[in-house]
Amino acid sequence: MDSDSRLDRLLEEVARHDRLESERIARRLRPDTRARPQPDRMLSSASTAVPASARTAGKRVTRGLGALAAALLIGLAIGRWSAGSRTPAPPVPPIAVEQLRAAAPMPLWLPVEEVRDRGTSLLVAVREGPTHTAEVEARARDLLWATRRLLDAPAAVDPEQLALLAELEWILVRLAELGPDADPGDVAATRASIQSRDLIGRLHRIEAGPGAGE
Amino acid sequence: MEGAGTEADTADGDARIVAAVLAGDDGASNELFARHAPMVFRVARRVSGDAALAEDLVQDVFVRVFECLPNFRGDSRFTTWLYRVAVTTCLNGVRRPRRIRRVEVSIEDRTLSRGAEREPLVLRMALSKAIDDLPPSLRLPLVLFALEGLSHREVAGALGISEGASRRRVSEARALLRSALDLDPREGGSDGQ
Repeated sequence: MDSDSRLDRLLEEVARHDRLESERIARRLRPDTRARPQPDRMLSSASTAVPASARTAGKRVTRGLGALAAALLIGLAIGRWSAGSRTPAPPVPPIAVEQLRAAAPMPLWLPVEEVRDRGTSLLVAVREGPTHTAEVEARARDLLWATRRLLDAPAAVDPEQLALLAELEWILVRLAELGPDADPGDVAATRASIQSRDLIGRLHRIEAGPGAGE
Repeated sequence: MEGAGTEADTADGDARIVAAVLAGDDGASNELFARHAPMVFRVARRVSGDAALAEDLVQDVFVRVFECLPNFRGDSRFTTWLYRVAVTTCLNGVRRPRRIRRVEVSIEDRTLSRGAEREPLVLRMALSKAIDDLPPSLRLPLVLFALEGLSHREVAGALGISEGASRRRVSEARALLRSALDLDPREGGSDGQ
């Protein structure tokens, strides 16, 4: 077989694999709220087809309705203000400054602990599990999100931790992409990567808690 | 690749769904998403080199599609228009200063020996990585032509280049891929175009 035919055959293989993968991933994708038709935009493009006289009449009606709504709002505001002046406002609890101070480092170190614990548990499951499963894939995707959030967070300033998180992220991407019907060779290669990088041991050694990563 | 009959059916189906979306049918917008999300994901994945980012880009593309749908005049097939929106949105998306991570379709943990005895899986992964490593000006025409099955005319329409440029770039991309995979070019023939 000549080189062009081999390349064509391989390209077909890649295309087939890409299609299967994209269909699998797209099955669980849902359009988010932004990815929907915007009625106001549809209306604005449709309004160009309305005759100018009709648009002017419509504007008059809209202006009238706007004035009515404004009058109602002002009335409501006056009513609330006069009611409020008669009834004493409920007491506002004093702000627990010490409590807030204690809670402040939480967003910085809690995710480190979370990623460490969930990452270790997932990687142990991958190392010891008989096969790659859909559950592993789902857990890897969840943890990938937390890991990326942490990589973007100021807590992850320790270069060693950053390097470890980046490696963990890379492994998680692989796990998330393998899929339940993964080739056993790919699964074995991923396990070997986890082992050779000593990811589980290094994750264990991450220190979390107040002060970590500062 | 789809047959001619299927393509015609697909085009008819798309026209019907687009009309329903423009009439404000919510179910039709879901249908349009479900029908084309896999293709948009493939393009996004090849443009960004990152499957997770590609999922975000799919949403960005459909936001754009629904914004621009009233401007779709139906001069070309809906899918050609969609490829153009997808490519443009994804290119803009990866240029934004958000974190971009290339997914290494790594074969570092496997033995990659050169020659005919290489496993098909390893070769496929190596080719996939080689495609991702191509410069965008060559990668996109190749992806649309060789992986998505578009004609050179459609590639030209989607990327805003001439048909001749599409042919040249696909040919150049193939030469780079043959070289990356160490496929012997002396045995080569035409570029299958």
